[in-house]
Amino acid sequence: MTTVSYDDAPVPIRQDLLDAHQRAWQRIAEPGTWLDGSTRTAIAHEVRNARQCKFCAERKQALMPYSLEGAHQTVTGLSEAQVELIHRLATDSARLKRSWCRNLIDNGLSEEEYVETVGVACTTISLDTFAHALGIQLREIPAAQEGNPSRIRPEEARQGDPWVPWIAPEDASEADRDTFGPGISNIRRALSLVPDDARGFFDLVGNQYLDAEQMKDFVTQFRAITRAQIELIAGRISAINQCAY
Amino acid sequence: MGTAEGDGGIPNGAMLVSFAEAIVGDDTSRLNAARDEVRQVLGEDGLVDCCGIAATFNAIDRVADSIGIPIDEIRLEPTAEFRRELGIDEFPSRLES
Repeated sequence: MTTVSYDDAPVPIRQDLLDAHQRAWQRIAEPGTWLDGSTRTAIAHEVRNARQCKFCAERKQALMPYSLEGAHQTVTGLSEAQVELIHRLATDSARLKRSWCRNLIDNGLSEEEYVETVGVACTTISLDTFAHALGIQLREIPAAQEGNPSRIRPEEARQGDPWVPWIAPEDASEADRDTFGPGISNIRRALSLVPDDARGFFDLVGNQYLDAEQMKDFVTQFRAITRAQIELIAGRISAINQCAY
Repeated sequence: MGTAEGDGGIPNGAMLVSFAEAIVGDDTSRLNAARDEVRQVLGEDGLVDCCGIAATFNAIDRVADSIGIPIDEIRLEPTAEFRRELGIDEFPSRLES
């Protein structure tokens, strides 16, 4: 069992947030749907390594990132396509293209592995950003747990507008209507090709930000800061990241 | 709208924007100073919430960017004007989604 502590934090961390972080690190260490625990923890290590990658630094500065040739500095045995995905996510995500995504998939990364890698990498980025913001050391990446991925692809997933298949609102099963069904925002169904990672990522989101029901309630104050203050921080981060969504 | 100068009508808006910028920036001393100010003004729980929200959006943006999800139909029209005014429609991620 993964144990996360924030004893070194300058302020107390509320229990629901601590529990959510504990679950997030636990999920990273466990076998997923398409990737085993070793691969998932390697993704977390590679996220951190990307910040020191010289090729990523050069490409971040380049006006035309796709014209630059080079090799990533890697610390794991992950495939070239997976390292490229993780490093771009960590260092230059605003300039990703559909053709880039499809190229990774044409070069050995399955659509399911692509989505699961995004889920694990973005979970790590979120957990690391929290520690960085608080001014404490990044938490230790837990040891991988043994076991096999479940390898279950949702039958209702199909190619729609996004770059990879997802569960469209009208296709969501009765059991998944509250997660991926009508009225649920596109960001919540983004990772739905790998439902466990979609649910896991939004478990973290719900405790760090707001859950789906809280998001619809503009009257109740759920956090120590107001809704307007919450959305101001969110909007500024997304503007800096040049995220149109 | 509120009247606080530089806060965009949101209490402590300028301070929160500065903290958000420092979190995704690379100036440690600016981040430390911004964090101290947030803690002093909004308290310990307020600081934790600010960190959690920044952590969420620094990751969720990357999910959106890498999956190429379209803006929700229901939000397209109401946000069209300010997306145009703020230049959001020119973001590479918008052109590719």
